[in-house]
Amino acid sequence: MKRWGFALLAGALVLPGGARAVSVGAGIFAGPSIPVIQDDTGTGVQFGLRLPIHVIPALTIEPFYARSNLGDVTETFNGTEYTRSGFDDDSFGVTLAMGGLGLSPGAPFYPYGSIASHNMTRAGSEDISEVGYELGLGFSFRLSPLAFNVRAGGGLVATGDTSRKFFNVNLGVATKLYGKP
Amino acid sequence: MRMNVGPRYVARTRGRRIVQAAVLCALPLLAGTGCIVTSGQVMVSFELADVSIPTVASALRQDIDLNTISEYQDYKQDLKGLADLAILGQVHNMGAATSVEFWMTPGLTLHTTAAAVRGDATAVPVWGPFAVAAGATEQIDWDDSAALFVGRAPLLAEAQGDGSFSLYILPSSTATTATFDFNNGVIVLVLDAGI
Repeated sequence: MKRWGFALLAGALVLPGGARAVSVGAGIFAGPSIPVIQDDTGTGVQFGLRLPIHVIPALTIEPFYARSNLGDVTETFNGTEYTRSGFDDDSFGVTLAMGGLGLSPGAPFYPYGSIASHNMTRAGSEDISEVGYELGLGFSFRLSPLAFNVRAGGGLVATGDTSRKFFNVNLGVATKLYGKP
Repeated sequence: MRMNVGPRYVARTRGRRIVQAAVLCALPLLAGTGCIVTSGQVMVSFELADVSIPTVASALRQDIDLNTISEYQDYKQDLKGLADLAILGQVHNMGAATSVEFWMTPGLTLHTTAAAVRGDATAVPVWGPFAVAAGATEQIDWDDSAALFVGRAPLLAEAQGDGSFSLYILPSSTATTATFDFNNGVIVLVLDAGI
């Protein structure tokens, strides 16, 4: 019964726009990436590219590339100050957003989830190449021909029995490349 | 009873559906990641005593008890790994060019020579070699030090065990001469642990 309920919920979201045209956009984004419970790396900047694809109005599939340059950590030990470099994180993945992201019809506020392949590197450490996840909320508005998005979400990169976690906030701008305006 | 089916009601209903769908989508992700969500990387440090190595045959010992670090005690039970390791400090070389290593024995031992440390079947190198030019004073860089750490597995075993071991500083096996001081030393460990 619950499966049917979920199927009906999904159907209710997708059917009203099923007949509309597919559209494809492109955008960029940037903002702070804040490590959570990580003493050995600091707050940095995340930026990247997104390709929002609207198959149906209430749902956006968005392949993306992101790079985070995390901050250094400086600590004083035994009277001497030392600095540890922060990670650089390259990620490729896809976001699923329950909204039009300002490029297609949909509520301005939208939840999103993403899955990505991460490659985290820094001097003196083994590379971390693992899968990461992010969940968050976004807000979009349109100033034609551009759409602006503000997103805030919590992400983690699985590292065996533990994870590296981040709180990401970013501002993005996108435009439609293909599809009905 | 009068049903409210106006545009605002439809918008609210659709909004609730979107939130519900988002929550449903989130559950498999959280289930897949399990308890790794409640984990973190916690930095702890252990200060080392200043030591002087008088000859190439010498080895100087310091017994380490991680249990004296309160943060370590807090996370010891849920310790999953060591995310980062470094030995920091200054090496003042009073002789010809040489290089420095750190070794450890899992139990507390009393070796006084480099040969005895290397001859101990339980001893393992954990850090180095760190080259120091003749007459130079080198401050060990944190990034460089992390790259020189080779004893992650035995140190993790100790950290997950009794937390007590002997740490030795000695000249590298390739060094032909050694007269140096090691000052303001510290071991920095980043614990990968459940919280």
